[in-house]
Amino acid sequence: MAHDMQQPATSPVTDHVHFQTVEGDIREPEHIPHHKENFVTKYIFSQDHKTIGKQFLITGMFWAFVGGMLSLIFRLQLGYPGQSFPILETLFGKWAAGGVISPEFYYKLVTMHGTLLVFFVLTAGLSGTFANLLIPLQCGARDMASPFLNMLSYWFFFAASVVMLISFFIPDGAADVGWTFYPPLSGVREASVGSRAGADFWLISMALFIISSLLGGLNYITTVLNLRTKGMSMNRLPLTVWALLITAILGLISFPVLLGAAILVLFDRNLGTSFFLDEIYISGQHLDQVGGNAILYQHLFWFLGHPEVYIIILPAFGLVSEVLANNARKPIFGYRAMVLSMMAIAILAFVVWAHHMFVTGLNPFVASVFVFLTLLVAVPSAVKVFNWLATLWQGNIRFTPAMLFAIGFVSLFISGGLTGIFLGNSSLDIPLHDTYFVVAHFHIVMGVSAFFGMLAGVYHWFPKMFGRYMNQTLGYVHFWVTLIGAYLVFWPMHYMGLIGLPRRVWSLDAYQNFSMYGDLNRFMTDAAMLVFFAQILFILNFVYSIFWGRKVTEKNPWKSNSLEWTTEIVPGHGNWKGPIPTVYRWPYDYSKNGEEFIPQTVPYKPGEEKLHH
Amino acid sequence: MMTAPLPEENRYQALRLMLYLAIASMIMLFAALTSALLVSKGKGDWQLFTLPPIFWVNTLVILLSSGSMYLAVRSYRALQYKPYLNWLLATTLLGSAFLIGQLLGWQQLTAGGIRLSGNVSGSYLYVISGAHAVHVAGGVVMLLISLLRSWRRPLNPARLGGLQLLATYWHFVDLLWLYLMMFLYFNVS
Repeated sequence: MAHDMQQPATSPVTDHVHFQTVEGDIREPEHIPHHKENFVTKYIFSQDHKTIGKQFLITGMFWAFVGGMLSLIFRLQLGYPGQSFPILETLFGKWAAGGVISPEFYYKLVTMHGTLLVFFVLTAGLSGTFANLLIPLQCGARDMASPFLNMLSYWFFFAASVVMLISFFIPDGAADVGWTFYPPLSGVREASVGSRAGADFWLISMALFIISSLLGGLNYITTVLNLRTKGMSMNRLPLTVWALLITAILGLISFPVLLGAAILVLFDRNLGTSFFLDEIYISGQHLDQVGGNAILYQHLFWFLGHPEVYIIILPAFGLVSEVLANNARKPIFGYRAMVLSMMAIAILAFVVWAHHMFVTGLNPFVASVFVFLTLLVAVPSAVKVFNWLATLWQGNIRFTPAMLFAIGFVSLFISGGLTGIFLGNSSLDIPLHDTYFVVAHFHIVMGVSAFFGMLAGVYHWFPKMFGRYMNQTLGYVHFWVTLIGAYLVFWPMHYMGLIGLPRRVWSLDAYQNFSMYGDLNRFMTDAAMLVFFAQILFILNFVYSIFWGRKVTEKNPWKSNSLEWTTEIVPGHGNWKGPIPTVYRWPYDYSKNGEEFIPQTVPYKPGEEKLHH
Repeated sequence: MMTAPLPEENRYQALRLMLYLAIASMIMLFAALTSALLVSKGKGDWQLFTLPPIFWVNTLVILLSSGSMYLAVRSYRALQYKPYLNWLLATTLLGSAFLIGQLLGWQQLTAGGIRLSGNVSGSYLYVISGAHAVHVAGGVVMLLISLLRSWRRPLNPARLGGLQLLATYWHFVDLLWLYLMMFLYFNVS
């Protein structure tokens, strides 16, 4: 075979399909003796995409735990206002004097909860994990285009994490200006406790995070476009790879804009410029900075911020499509429509940002254009939902934990997506803006949905990552508690929001008409705790299974068609021991001609009908 | 370490795509900054001032450096060691001269009363030209590395691709400056 990598290392490699690293030398498959890996190069400064994927996953899980914990603490205040929890004072000192969290602390909690979950967990933890793990394995590449830049991508994320974590422990505490970081609250040091050093830490951490995300994106796109194995045409790629590719393109175009906004805020805060500041009085003092425009920041922020929510949800689309088809034992319904609708969503992502700004005094005509474009997003989203349901229809379904989470994702995406139609209309958004209705919408459609996609991915690809299975029973418990619990937490918020309950309020005591929600808030807080404990169960299952889980004994435990299951059970650096397999068909030939599944590496039989080409 | 030579052509093909993608994201950064300027300008309270004259000299310098970069690549392709090294050195010097020139330009501005923390039109000029200068400085560092690597070493035709990548980046920061200079000329002066 021309692309055989098994030739002696001394002979020149003439193959032009399977060259591997751009940094230097071809990494030979594992069985050829090569440079020794020690603990540091294998587990810490690793350039192996699979290890880097696990690093992203574990760091993401750490942040998910922290971010979830923060939400429980502020839910305590909402569910049990005024009640003293002495342990809080023990843990947080002056921030929770008398066991009741202070308003300043409350704002820090919601700010960091949003930042951590949106960026560190559902962007880095989701894309970083699965783009790294799956792109080379499913495209048929020995590693990323640049393993070195890929390693840097993780370590920039790590540095961003360290800076963010340090900000928790400085005297004034972390930033408290909301995850959207609007000026003037974020632009003036004197504006609040969390506008001081914590906000600088936040901005520096985000700058590092953006660099990490850009370095990762360059690699993901280049690898998909340049390093596919023989026969792996673009329309034979698994939908996971398509989703991760489109996600990376979105990030590459939108993150630099956030970087620009962050630089300008840093200047306003520290160098006396007034890009976003104008005629501000703080405690009776007039600030020198005049002539700026706070709304401008919102334009810059949401030009990233809206694509960002698709950066979060698109990888989940891909993971869910793959898990659904594999476990329904059916071809994915409408492969091409799936790809086209993801492209349509990606394009629309850039022309809908002002729907976050309907109450900024936006010209009503401009608003109507953004309403129209926003509602257009419903079309490709509905196409995708239809295709997922059609894939399930009359499938021979295996209800693995991964499959349950994938089905749960579809449920949540529908529930959350429908409220998007409310909020996309400017006339409805004006009363609903900044109420709990919005909180309910984005938590269900983006937060919990993306989590479900990610969990489906973790359960499904855990055997590939660690060579062991996760415990199924614990997986079922985890799924049902999380699904029911998440609905119990977020569903009531719709009603509260419809009646006008504002978000980002420490205590509702000031509003007589919302006092009737006391019991409901307590119920939601209790449900949130239940959901959180189910996630601890998941983490325990995850850690236990890495070391003591049931061992995988066959290469292809899910009887899947895609390439990652043609490698060794635990593939070494270089992924395939022998030559990289050639691909002959798309990855969704399930239940075809009486065969349960036909892997991509099986050539067409004479006369076999092509369902897809 | 067991190694085998890489098919250089493919290696540079992947790197070239990466560079184009990186350039796309840099374009987005400057698109964000320049469109922010337009929004701020539209709000009024916009002070016009004269660009420091040395900016025009710097524009000429960076244009010339693109020319010398082009000649360096051409000499490399013809495997002419001496001219290659000279042109690469010329590019490095011109690039450094541009950076020093920009620094002088900012000094002229400050001396003329246009401060970073003054009217927002001046702040934009500092931030935009500063962000560009950071990108040029990155290019100068890469040029220095290339110079060091080529020192007293025969030219390797297989490594031409690396120089071409650097040249692409260098022409990009040059073109970017032309755009920014025109943009600033029409919007702040």
